[in-house]
Amino acid sequence: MTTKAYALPSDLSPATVTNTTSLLRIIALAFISGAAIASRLFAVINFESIIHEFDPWFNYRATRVLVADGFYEFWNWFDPTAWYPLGRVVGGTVYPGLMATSGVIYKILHALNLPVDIRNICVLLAPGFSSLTAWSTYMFTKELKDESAGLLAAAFIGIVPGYISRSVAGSYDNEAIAIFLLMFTFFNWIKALKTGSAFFGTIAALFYFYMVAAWGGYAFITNMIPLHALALLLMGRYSSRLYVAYSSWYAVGTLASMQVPFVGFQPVRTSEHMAALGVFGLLQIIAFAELVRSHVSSKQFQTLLYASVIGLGFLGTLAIIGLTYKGWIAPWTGRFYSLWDTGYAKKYIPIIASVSEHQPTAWPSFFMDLQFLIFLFPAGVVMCFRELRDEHVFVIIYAIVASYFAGVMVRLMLTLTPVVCVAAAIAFSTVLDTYINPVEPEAPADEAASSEVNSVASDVTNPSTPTPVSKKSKKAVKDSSASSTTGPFGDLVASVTSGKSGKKGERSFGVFGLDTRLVVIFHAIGMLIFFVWHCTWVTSNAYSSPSVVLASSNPDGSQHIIDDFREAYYWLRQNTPETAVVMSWWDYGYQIAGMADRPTLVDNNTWNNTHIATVGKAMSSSEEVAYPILRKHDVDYVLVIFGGLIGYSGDDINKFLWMVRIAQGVWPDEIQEPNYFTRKGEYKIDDEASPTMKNSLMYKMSYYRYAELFGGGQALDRVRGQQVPKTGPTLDYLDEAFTSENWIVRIYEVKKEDLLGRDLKSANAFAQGKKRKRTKPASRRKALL
Amino acid sequence: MQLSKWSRPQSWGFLFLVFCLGLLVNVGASSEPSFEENNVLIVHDPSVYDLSDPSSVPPQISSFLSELSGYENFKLTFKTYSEESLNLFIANEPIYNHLILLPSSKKTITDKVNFNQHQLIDFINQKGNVLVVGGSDAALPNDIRSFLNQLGIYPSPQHFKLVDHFNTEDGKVKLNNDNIVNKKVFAEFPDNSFLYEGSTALLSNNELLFPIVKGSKTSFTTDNLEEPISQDKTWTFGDQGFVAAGFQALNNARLSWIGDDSLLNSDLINWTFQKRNVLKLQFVQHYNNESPEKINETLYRIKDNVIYTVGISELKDNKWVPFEINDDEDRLQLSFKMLDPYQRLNLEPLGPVASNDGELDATAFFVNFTIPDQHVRHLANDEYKRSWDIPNSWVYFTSALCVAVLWGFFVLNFLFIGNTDNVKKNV
Amino acid sequence: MTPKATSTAKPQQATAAPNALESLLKAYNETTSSRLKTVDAFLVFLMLSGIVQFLYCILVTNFPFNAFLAGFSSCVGQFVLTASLRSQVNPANRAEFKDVSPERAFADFAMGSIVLHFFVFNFLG
Repeated sequence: MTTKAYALPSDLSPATVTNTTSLLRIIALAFISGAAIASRLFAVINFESIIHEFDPWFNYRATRVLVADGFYEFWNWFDPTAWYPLGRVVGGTVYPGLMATSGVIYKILHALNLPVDIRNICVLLAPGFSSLTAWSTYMFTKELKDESAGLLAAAFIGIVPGYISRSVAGSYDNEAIAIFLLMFTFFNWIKALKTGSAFFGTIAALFYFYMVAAWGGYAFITNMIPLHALALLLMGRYSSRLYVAYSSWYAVGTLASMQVPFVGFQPVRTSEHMAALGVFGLLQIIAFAELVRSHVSSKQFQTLLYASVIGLGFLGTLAIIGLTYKGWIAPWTGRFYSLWDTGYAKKYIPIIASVSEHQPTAWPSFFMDLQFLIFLFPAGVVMCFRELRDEHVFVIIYAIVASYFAGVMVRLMLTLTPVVCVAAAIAFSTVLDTYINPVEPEAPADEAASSEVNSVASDVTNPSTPTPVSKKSKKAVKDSSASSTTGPFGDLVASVTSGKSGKKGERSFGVFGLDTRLVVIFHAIGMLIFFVWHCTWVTSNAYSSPSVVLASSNPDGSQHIIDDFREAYYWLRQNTPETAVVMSWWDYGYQIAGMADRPTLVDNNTWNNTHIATVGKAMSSSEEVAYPILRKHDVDYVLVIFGGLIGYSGDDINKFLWMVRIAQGVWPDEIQEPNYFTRKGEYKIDDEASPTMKNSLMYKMSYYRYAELFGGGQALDRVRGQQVPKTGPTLDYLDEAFTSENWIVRIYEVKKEDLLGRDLKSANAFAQGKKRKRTKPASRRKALL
Repeated sequence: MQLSKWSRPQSWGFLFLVFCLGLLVNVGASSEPSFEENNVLIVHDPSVYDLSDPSSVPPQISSFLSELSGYENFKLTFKTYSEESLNLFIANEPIYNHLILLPSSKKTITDKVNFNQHQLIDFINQKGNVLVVGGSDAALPNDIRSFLNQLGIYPSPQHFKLVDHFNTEDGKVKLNNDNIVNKKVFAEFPDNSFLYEGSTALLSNNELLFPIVKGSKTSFTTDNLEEPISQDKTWTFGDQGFVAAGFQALNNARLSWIGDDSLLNSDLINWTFQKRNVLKLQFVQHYNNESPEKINETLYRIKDNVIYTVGISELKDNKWVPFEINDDEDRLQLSFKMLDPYQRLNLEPLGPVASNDGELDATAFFVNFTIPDQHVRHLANDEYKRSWDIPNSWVYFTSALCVAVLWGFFVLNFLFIGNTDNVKKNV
Repeated sequence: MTPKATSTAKPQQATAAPNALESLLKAYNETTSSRLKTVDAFLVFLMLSGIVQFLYCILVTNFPFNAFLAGFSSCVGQFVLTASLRSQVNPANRAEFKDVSPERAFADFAMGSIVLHFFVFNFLG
């Protein structure tokens, strides 16, 4: 009866069709996994199998301890070489999920007699788990729309740069497994909600526990699911399924999450977890009210019950607020608080503000990380509004919340990426569905709305009343829209606001002809090809740098590898005693511990602000002030990064102001930031630099003997673009121990105290033959009575 | 004999600080003084005293030299300031263990290349001991003066001498035992009286420097007795002038300076050449009170009870004997610190022990203390008190067990007993 | 179902409350099967146990906190799991739980309880 734009084979049995589609789906998923893994291997192919960046080095070291010493030792590991001399209780301050995962994989592979080195497991863990992420996104989106949207979503998240940036081979960080766990937990939650089964709720709780063990960002799930439940309650969509799903998830999940030592009692004591508890309580109250309501018929009693339910809910909220005010429940911690009040961190917690990943996101990075998904994303969210089942409410909330957070902090682009992929897949899949669907509309017979066919890429609609509108879209249906035919605008409104009804029924809107279909489909395929091209380009150029090894190109175009970091760390490893303590800025702590295997003073964990401020003070002060600090902490070597010779802009002189600020936070009398600028307020390192700047240890260590490189000519600092003064700084309390090939890493040895009790500056002056004019001592001994 | 360089527990530094009033000791891996050759270089100026002519040499000097040559294994070498080649080092190794500088009449030294202030500093940095003898009429060579200034000793210029109008006898200043500041190095003046004529020195605040004999309150140093006292004509005033000073470097090399050769005595000589007031740390042991068999562990936990024991010997007459603290005011202390001095504990003597199989040559001292609540290793997850040991938690225990048990019953009931699902509804 | 309902009733409904309560109990007795009554009895026990622990924690001491949390969560967790089971098994709710048959509901309940108890005992000690 219906006309088709193109012919479909009609002799296939439904069973064959189903089997073929499942086979195609499996093959597609396999290809998607392959693509996901392959596109993350650029770094391994271009350079080597090495752990990247900074944080992964600590995770790698912890995994080595776990594999070598066993789980008990790892659980109770006290690391005396980190944060010297305080040490770090690693067992209680780390999220063990990542290390445990690698450890288990290692043990399994070794049990199968495949002796894979632990380093390779760590390097390749992230790509492996990315294919699992793709699969779980497929499952998630399947619940929202259908399998085709699921495949699209899986393909998107497999190669999208926003996720790749944190999961390339070698990026052995918590996010490698956390995003998989995030999507899988959400999938289980949606499934639990749809079926009302406590089984899926328990599975969701178990994977939530795994997520808590793996990443500090688990608080996102802890607040998303209650937010979703609350939204459903407010929409009047309370149902027993919601009760079953949420209660089983919360009860088991919260108890499980408290097993992780790092989390401990936080789920009942901190504000970040109170939302979940509050919604749990609210659900119990509402469930109870529903139960009683079904037994009681008296209207008075019902109103009474409603009033008391609301009253109890209100009281509960007041109780939580009261406990927070009294201090029994901790307020939002700095890291999360700075998401709401973005100016907070810069004023009060400079360490958080100084991390480059915590800066607000710039607009171009949205496009770079997501390409055309970012403008399909709102369309997908609107589609969710049209359907508005319980799971679509979740996606809408997730989208809004994640968009806000991604705008606040660059690092949180990662949490936005999955929902963007899902929503964009829904939108894209709807487009493809509409244009691939071979059914053509009838010739225009109804007067109502046929003439105004704007080929809006909209769903099949049914403006006339006979077919009932789906009950599921309660929120969107205004009764008027279903029955009125108030002209073209009304029909357009009707087509947008009413939900998708069944496939039966008359169609007046639709797509005619094969050519329109082909145009749109080819355009869509073209967009997909551009997307793949863009993702691959971004991945290979921007996100596949190990950052331990740098690459530049020679004049003839060949690659020139800059391996200064490893050169210096291995020098430390081979030429210093094993207990030699190294001081550097906290960025490099994990790398020094991992590659040079020496005790460090501060590292990327940044848990002790005073200790970091002490290092900052030592770096910002003159040698005389810094020397006692160095000796007090038993520092043997000081390490600085200097990029002036080759133009490496991530060096310590560029980070120097943060050291000053952090030190100033603890010693505002001794260190003041304005002292390090010129009188005009500029940050200079040439002749105009302020005396405090020129005398600071960091300046001296960076530019010591730098001018000599240029043999009398103008010494240029390539990063700052300024001329370094010809007479370089002199060092009395440190000796230069090692400078790497391109002068990126400079290591200085701290001199021991003078054997004759003099201060080193005078001792040096004497040794160089400078005569002292005084013949009497500067300070006389007090009379001994 | 060997000294254990004790293994440092990794997370804090054990600083062994001996805090005694005025007791200067050599601790640690010190050289064995009496078993090797002791090469002494004596530099003198023949125009001041000619050592070949005994009559021109002051009695103190000659008795000192004869005592010195009488020591076992001491080899004396005599050189003058005006020698052509006066070197202290051969290929950067010191030739001599000890150096004695007698007064000179000239301000220069002929061999400037091999014997100057830098060489002297290097000599003491390489653990050489030095004894410098001054004199009011002697001229201190410039290099030696700069060298002494670096250490913090500022001897008075030539022709300046100590004057005290209130305590004079025979034209010399009268000193008594009250002027002796450090009785451990310089015991006493015979008959509690000493007539002194010589130069003085000012001392700086260097922590390694200590005065031995000081001038009295009414004394001062000048070169001109006729004119009245004025700031630029006097070198020292009162208690701030010292006639004998000692110095011990961080590597235990010793130096002493005296303003006149009359102050030489065997106590001072023995001290300078490391024959007395030398202690040796024979062994260090620490263990947890709970498990005394594990000695010298590298990692302790908070709240551990630790017993820390050391064995100390003193050198007496070229032999190591157990060290005894005789003075009530002296204490042997252990400073246990991490970043800030955290605990300073007195060590109690236990008695003589043998550091190796042999005679009893050391005294053992010990202290028992608790490791404070700093970030040493925390309690492991199973080292906390288990719940069933805590009475408080029995309520929760019983409740949890009840729930589990009742749940079991409930499951059984649900599955097998209560079967009816449908009920007639009356409503 | 329990006296708890009446504690939330306002005083001015004093006379109406006993009537409401009676009618409530009567309605309850007649409409619920014995199976559901077993479930309800278990629920009552769990609630009482939870209240006792909570009061003990507040009034006496909250050390050791982990034991309290473990015990209390076992009551609360078991309570919600059983309540879920009840709603799933209740024939009146068949329409909502299309995918979950009563047997499946029970299996879910058993699995959830076992996982819960595992974590409880791990957390206790």
